[in-house]
Amino acid sequence: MTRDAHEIQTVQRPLAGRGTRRRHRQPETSDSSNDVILVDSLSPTTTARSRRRRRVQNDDIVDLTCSTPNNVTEVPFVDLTSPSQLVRHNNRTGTSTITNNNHPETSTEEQQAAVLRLKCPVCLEHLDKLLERGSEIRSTNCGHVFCKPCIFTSIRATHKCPTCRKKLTERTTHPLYLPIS
Amino acid sequence: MSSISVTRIQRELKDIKSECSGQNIKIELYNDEYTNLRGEIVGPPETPYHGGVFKLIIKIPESYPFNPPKVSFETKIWHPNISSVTGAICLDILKDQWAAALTLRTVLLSLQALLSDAEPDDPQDAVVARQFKENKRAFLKTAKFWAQHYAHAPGPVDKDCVEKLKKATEMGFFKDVSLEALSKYSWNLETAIQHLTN
Repeated sequence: MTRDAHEIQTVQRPLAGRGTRRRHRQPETSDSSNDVILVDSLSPTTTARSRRRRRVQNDDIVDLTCSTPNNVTEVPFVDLTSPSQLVRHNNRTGTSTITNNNHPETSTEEQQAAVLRLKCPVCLEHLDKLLERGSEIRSTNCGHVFCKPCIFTSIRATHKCPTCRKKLTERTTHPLYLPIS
Repeated sequence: MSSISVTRIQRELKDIKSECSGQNIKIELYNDEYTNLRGEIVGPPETPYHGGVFKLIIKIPESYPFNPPKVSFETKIWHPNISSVTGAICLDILKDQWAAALTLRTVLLSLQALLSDAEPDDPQDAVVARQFKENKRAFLKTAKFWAQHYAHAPGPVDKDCVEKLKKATEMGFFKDVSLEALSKYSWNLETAIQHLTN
């Protein structure tokens, strides 16, 4: 009956951002455009990527605090969102999957805000709250993201990934350095 | 009770309130303890359980969410993967396939899925599973009657069932015991009575 378990995981996950503790990093951001952004971060990567590329060209800024190449900025978009799951959720609840081609000015900051509304799947705390408290966010080798205390407690208790049950040790996880200003 | 399990249950209950309207599931605290909860699922459409309200007993172990919650049916139900006597559930995610990222909400949703899609080859109740495989018609009839009798599922009640149950109780047998015997013997009154008198 592993199929049941699989179904659950897909249904269960994408709940971040629907709570009341929404953070408005840009004052003009309305709720509806927040929703749009969440979807945007999942929409075919070409849109997001080309926008980012454009931004880099326009601003002509080299991030000197970052020793790694530019493409590092793409990490959170790749790691923190699993497109199929979130998109499926949108379909299930009837939310229309809108891409924000009409809002080319949407900033990376807003996308970050959407990412930070995600939760640690174990303690269910929002990532932004965790970061505020100075907690470390960690990713597993299988790509799932948790707060450090939760993933370490999980590994000690079960030696498995809390999301996909893949075998894990503390060494097969690594910190995530989210590019947040 | 460890603090992580308490905070987790608190957050889950809060999330369930905001996210589960219209999903036909409910979870609430029982006796204000975070170790003891009660759940409710509504039988899904196109099943013999349709519209029935099934109550669940949920016990949270101290090691939650690293170990699964202990869930059983309080409302009696006729289903291959649920004991018709004790309400014990056979579901992999409540055993070895549990993962800490699963929640009570997902457990209840998968129980609803289990009602839609039984697994007779991995049974909890061998009698029910055998009936499911060998006499599907009797199984559907029994499951529906149980849902109406115990879970207040709507719809017209099977007259044959009502009559036979009445006959058995008139002979002095308790209603629940009679229903169990009739269900077990696919509504063959004679065999059921024989079983009851032995």
